[in-house]
Amino acid sequence: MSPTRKPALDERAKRLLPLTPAVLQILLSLSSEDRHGLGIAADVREFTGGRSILGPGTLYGTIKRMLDAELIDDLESPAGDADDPRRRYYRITDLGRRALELETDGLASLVGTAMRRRALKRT
Amino acid sequence: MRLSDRIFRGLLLLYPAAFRRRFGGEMLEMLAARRDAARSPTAWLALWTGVVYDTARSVVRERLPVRRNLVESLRQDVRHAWRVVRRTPGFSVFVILLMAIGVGSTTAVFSVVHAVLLRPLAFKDADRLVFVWEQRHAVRRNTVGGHEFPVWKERSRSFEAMAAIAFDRDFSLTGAGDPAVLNGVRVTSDFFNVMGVPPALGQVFGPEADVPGRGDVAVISHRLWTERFGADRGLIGRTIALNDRSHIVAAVMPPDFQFPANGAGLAPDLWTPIAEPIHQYRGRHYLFVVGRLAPGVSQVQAQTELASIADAVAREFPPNKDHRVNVQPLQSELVDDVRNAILILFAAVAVVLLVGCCNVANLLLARATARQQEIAIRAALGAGRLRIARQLVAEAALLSLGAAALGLFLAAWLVDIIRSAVPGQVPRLATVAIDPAAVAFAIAVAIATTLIFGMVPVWQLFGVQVADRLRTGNKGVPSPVRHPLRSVLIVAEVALTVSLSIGAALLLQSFFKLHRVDPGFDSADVMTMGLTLPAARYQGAVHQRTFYIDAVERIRGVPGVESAAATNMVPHGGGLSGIAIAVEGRPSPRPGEEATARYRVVSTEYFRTLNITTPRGRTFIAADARSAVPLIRWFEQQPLPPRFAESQAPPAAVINETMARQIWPGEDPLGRRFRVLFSPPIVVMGIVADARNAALSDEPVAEFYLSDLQEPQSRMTLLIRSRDGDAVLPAIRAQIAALDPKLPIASVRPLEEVVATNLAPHRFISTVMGGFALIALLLMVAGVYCVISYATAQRSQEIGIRMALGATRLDIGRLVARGGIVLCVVGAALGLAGGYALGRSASGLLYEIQPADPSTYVALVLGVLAIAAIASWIPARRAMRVDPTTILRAE
Repeated sequence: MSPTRKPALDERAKRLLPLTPAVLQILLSLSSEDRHGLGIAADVREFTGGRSILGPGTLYGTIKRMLDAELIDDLESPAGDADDPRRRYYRITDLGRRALELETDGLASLVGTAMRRRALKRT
Repeated sequence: MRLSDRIFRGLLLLYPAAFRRRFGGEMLEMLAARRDAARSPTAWLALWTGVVYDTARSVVRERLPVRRNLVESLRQDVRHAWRVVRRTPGFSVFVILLMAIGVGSTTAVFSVVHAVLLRPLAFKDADRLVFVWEQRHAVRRNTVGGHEFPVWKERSRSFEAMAAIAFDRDFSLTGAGDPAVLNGVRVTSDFFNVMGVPPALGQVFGPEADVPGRGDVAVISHRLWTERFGADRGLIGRTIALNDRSHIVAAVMPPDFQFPANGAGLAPDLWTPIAEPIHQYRGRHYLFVVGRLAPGVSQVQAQTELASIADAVAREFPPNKDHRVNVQPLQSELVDDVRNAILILFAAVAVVLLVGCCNVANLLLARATARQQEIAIRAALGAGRLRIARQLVAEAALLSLGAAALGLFLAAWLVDIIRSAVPGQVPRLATVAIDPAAVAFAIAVAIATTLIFGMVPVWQLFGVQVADRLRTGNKGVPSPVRHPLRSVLIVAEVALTVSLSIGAALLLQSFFKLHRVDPGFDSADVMTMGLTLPAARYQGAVHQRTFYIDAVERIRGVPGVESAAATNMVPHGGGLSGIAIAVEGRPSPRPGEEATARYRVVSTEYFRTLNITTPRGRTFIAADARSAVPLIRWFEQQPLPPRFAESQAPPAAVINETMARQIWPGEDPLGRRFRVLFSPPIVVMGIVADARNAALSDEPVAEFYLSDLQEPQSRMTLLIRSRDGDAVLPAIRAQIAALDPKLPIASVRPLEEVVATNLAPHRFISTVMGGFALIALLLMVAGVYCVISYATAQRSQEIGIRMALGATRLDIGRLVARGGIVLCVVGAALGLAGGYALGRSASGLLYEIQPADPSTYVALVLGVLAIAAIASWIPARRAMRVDPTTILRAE
């Protein structure tokens, strides 16, 4: 990544903040590996402990907007997936990764503050 | 496809097309996976509420992507509404259930209307297809004579093609598995041009097949091809044995081509050419004529042209005087008989929906009233009225989406019931399904009810004075309640219920009357068994006669059989046989004014087997056998039967009492003679009691019976009286197989079942109407009860004061109940008018009861009022028991 492009990427990422819960969850899910829609939904359900279940309309509506915003890319099905040719895989972009970093940094500092001020019970 | 998949697909239609194309497949897959994972009822409920919520939310977002602010506030509305709906689950579930009943049953009946009445026929340019009937005086739909069709076809210029159809022959298939009777029709070769449907395989027959004697070719249905011949593509060009003659299979039609259905509503298995000199069959009315109008020619133009051709035919052939032509669109002809019944059901179900909606509006209204303070606070905090209204509508919208989803399940269940409950009489009923049109309809109904009934409380809220409401605090409404809107809803509910109950009561009474009609014959313990002798092995009337005499004789010898007979037309089995007769010794009537009578051919034991009494003369005996058979010649050029000149038994007829009265009024018919078409004079030997042979609702008509010893038939139905039921069947089959092992038996049914099948449409429509009326009644009771209880609760302060001032308990009871009862009386009065309208439109389905039957009206109004009075009295009684001090202290 060239030093000249990095500020531009940061600028663009900042403009997308704050991320909605659905966008954040999808980015988080794609940060570890490329997944298809069903895979994302299952992953989100798992790492939120079942508290967040993305409905199909919300999931694919959000995916569409994230594609438009270039937070993620879609890939043709990898050759290995013989499951179902309809499935499309999604991959997080540099912009998406940056937006995720910025958002989680912000959240982390928020959580830190909360803990320092004993707003959270568990210290 | 599973029902849930269909619903998912329906929901997908709400999204923009591009979105659907891009993500639809994956969304369906995801939903299917979740559906499969949801095993318990709770998980199932959670899934569907989640789906509805998710769809509502994301559809709004995808459909309105531009105006972010609006989208955001709409999302807030939906979210807020979702919270409200979840906060009061009991209320929400109740409202959803109420609306789902309405939406579900309306959607089910709509899908019937859509499949049977609205959807275009699956033929090319179906709007150009017409039926052409002969019209004679009051009879608007007569089958067409052999001398008419060829002339119409040759001289008219309004038609691109015209074809004749004849249902006059059974086809038995042998040499391909068990012998079977097929439902075949005979058509002229233009039939396939008229319908405009190419075969799925092979080539249909052309004009060369119309040449008399060249008709040994068959086009078969897709069903026959797959079920009998294993979908063998090599079948084309091979021969199959139909009625023991080989026919070349020319083509296989596509699966959805099922025209024309026969009288019992069965789709044909095969089409063969008529291939006979049709024009020679003067006066033989056996053809159904279909035509394809030439482009740009209207039905009226075709009618006008054919009318002038019919006039020309009448000049050349005087008996045709007054025979006119009646051109009707094919689609409306196919569904003509059932259109009225279906539309009445639709009206009835709409009434149920409306009553349900009145209740829902009442509930929403009551809740909105209770929430007036909350609303006032919001208004004080700066919420615009529009915004508040939007929230209320959003709540109603969520409820109605839930109702639509649940309603679709109900509709699918009802559609299954409808499909299995109504026998073959309704064309295209088998194709009824919850398709995208039905889903769209359910959602449209849900949205419409939301907008209308969700707006009712909104309207009310627009009158709220913020300051007033905040001042009166939690007590709800300050002054005695005067809710014109609620009163209107109660009046409407009662009116709708009374009209529907009247309609249902009329239909039910007429069904019971019909059920009790004495048909004039005894159908208990009689089995029917259809047989058709193939022409190739039973050439000539004498052979056919011998077979049936032997068959009846052998069956009579089977242990357990009390008597056995044969007839060419089983009572209530469909098929009419009106024929012109000429009475000897009377001046020949003017053309078109001949007396007509129905006739059937029966064996000697027929009257005894069906317990039909013979008041005068005798029925047929073995000595009636003639050597010169048959009696009736259908056209003038038909040669006389062999041995006609020999001395033998005279032609004999047995007539019914109606024929005796109509044809020989004030005379003794015994010994009189009449001719049928070109028959020798036939002597009246006996008079039997009238029987309703066509339908229970039809008054007996003039009818005569001929003996099968004189007029043998190839197609007969055996009637077997036995108390042992099915137990004697194997022995009977063995006797028939002993006579002819290759002969298929078409159908074995109890005669009682044949009669009941005829009643099935009456039974169905009156049961369904009764069910709808009952649902409406229950909804109405619930509505009246809720409203009166609610109003009473709100008036508790007033009641307390009145009692403190000396009003007796009875006074209070009257005060409370009176309001409800007055509304019910007004509603019932309006309902009478509605009931009359419904009865009038159903008058074609009524039997021996007038649409304005006074006792029905009085009984129903009193009944509904009594029920409404009870529903109002219960809350009134509660009000009477109130202790005034408790109430006044609470203030």
